[in-house]
Amino acid sequence: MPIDRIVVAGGGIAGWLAASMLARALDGGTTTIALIEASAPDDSLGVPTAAETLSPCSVERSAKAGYDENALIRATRGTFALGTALSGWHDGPPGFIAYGDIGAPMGPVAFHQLAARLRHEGATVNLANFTLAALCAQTGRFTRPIAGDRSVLSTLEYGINVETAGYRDFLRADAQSRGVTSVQGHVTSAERNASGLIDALLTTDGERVAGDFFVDALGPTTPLSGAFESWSDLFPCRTSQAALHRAAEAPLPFTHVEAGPLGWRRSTPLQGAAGELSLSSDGDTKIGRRTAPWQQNSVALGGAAAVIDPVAGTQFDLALSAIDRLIGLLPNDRACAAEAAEYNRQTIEELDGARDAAIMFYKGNGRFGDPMWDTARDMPVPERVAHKIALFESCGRTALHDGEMLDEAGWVGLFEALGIRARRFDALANGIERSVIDAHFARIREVMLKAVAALPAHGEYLRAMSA
Amino acid sequence: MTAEPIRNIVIAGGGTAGWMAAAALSRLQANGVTTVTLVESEEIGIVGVGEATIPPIKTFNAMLGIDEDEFLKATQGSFKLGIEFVGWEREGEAYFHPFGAYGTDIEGVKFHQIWLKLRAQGIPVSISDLNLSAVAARHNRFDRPNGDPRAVLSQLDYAFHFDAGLYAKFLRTYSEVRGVVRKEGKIARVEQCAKDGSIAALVMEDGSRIHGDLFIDCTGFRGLLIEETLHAGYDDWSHWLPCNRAVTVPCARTEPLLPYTRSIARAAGWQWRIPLQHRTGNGHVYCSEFISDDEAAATLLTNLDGEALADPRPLRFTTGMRKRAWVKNCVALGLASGFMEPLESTSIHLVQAGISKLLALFPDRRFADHERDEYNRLTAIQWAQIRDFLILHYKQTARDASEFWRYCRSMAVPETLTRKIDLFRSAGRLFRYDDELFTDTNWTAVMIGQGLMPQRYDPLADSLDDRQIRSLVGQMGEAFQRSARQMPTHADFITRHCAGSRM
Repeated sequence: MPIDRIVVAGGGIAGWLAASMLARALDGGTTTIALIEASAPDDSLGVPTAAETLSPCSVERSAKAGYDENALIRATRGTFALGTALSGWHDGPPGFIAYGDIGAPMGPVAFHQLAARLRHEGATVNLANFTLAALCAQTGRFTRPIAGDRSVLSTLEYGINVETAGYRDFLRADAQSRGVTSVQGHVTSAERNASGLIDALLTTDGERVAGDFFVDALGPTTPLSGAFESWSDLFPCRTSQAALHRAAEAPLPFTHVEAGPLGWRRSTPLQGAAGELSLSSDGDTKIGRRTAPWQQNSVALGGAAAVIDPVAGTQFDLALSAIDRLIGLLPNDRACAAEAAEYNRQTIEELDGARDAAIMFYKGNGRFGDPMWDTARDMPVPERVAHKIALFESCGRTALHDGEMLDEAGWVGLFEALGIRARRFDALANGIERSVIDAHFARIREVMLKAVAALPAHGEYLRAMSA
Repeated sequence: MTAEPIRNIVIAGGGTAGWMAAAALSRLQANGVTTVTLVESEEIGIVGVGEATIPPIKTFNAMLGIDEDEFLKATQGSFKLGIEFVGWEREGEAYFHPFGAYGTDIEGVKFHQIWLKLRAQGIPVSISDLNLSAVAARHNRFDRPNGDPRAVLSQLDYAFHFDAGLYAKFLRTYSEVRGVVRKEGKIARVEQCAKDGSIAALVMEDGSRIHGDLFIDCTGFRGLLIEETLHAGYDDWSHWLPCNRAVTVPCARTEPLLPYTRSIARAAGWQWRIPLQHRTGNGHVYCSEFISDDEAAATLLTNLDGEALADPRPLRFTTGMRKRAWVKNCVALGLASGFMEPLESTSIHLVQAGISKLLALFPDRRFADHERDEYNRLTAIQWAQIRDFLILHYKQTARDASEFWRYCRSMAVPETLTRKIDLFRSAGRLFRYDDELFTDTNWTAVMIGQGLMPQRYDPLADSLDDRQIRSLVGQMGEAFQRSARQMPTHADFITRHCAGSRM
């Protein structure tokens, strides 16, 4: 049976994102899309938030799908994001996890390996001082790179911070303008045929919404549940609180995550506001993921598929990536076992990678004396995480797995910000004359500082955009 | 930190793998502590793991700073635009597996999906017309892309054919100039540390000892260090890739000089043809359970297109890989690390990939487990991916006239390959895992070439305007034809840029 009608369950940001992306991808075809929404707090991504961040990869995905970036920023009090400042995770100075490359390699030797050698020889090197996005963030400056530009600025990677509710409304308007229809109601159950395929969703109002393919964006409490793998013993913080505060000062181009004795809080700058999210120990949020997010003709997305501690700020990125993957594997028949198997394999890899990154913030903490953090540091972690830490500590290399959102530079930035250091460095870094490395470092710093000094302040740049 | 850097690296065995390792590791000597010694005996011949390569070899050359024309002159090398598979899908049919991409994606829709859509609409376009390397190969032409990404020529990708013996010689000179010490002689035995069983020294037949911190085993199939001494273990894959013997023979060069490898299916295996400047390399890979050695040699000799220049040389192997390519302080490269038939010319690439992983995870004298584990993890992933790609050629076929092919068609294959086949059959979708060597183009070429046609195309292709894609694809085919016709012939290009001395 062909797919003529897709039904999205859930009117939160995840549901409208799915509806809007699907409508764009299927534009010109004959498939229709309907969405079932109900007024409720939006937990469709997993943990409810007032603000979310689109990583550079999501910004690119969004542009590729055809969304106008300026319109998106206007609709969401959007600001630009260059990375995340981390404070309170250890005794040392705050760290910064920047988007984009760290320094520049010398031939096959990565910059952080060169830095490790200089440190070994007694020098103090802060990788953030050689990272363009970090330097822009430190000075509060920003500009979008210009296409075709060959200066160092062309390497700047940026994300976008958005107000969650504003973004949902933006996506809803986009979906509706493309013919997505919506039905009001709380989904209570699914009507299945003899082979287990869903024929229709039923709501409290007695509505029956029929379709050929279903997207479950109903959040963690979805009634269309399947088997669940719990990760609750890996994450001590299970109470969350989100709020939007007014802010008069010009927004900074980065988010800030601060650890305290009982948890952590993130502040996401928006235009005229800040989205605050805090997580604290205990509580009963269920953390983990579905063992098979795509079953038969129904795919669980966002919080319906997984809830991961949002310390790494990737909730939105995970949902967008999953929808992108779904579109890439969109079946044209209700019988789609090969597509479902592949979707599940890739999605599970990506979710497990995100879990690993989030674990690192706890396992790798340096807050000695706080019981919650002490326990987290000593907890047993999945073998992949243990191997990743051990390998990095041993030689500064990162064991990468398929589907991880962080690339090598991302992991190095995270290790660095958490104060985790390698015991030795790349053997090839030894063969380079010290004076040549020093000159390389000085040149990178000079080129970057010069470029950054010429940039406008982030607030000014935003004002000029809306003018 | 680096308080205990590796002092002596000892490479056991010359040949392609040994000298590739020596050339690449020679740069570690810049720290003033590390030295590289290679031990080989002129009495032991080399197998010459492969004479055809794939495009990443260019990266290896660039890493060593080797000039491409000098390298081709020294090795009697030629250019390779892909492989022609003859009779693999069925007797009488052939397809071309080219380097470089098919067309370009349009609005996020993969190009081969657009091709499938046109095909579903009854528009007859050969997918080989939409790859520049394939078009150039058909005309026996070659030109080097000049680095301009806007030029049509930038769509061309290539690798090389070369004389493996001459390649080892070339890299030997390169290495010795850079301070690698070569020791002539046969290894009598291997001495292990009493404390932890790691390798302490190679004891030579003349009684001398060569001590090392790190040993590279390039001793070929036997794996003198990795297997005979350290008992790494071997994963046997012959139930999936049953060929276990080969017979090889060089023959005289014929004209025109083809810019590609040919692989011709035979009743119990296949035959390769690799065109070099001074001769043509030939070999017949077969399974001894289905054909005798004499018959196999006869098949090879009756199917040469030039005069044989030597006696046929037999070769035996068991397809598979060492369970661990790095054990204690020993890393195996080349045939010592495992064997896969040269059907997709991956042997030299596996050596190259092993070397770059070793450099990336280079140990110190403490030999932490983590680097070794990571090396073995990544190696196992890469070998299994290539294995699956090779199995596809045997599994997906309509050949059924001989017992050998009937076995291959009906054999069970790894689940990882079944998944790929199912997904492609359903709607032509492909995914690349863990930095996989083979791209969508490689898989598409072989899947379609072997007769695995998707049941339908990606529904996303329906969002594209039909007239627009027809005209784009038409223009693309014409542009490739024009570009190919402007290229010199392969032989002319070589004469002009990289002719080797007459032999």
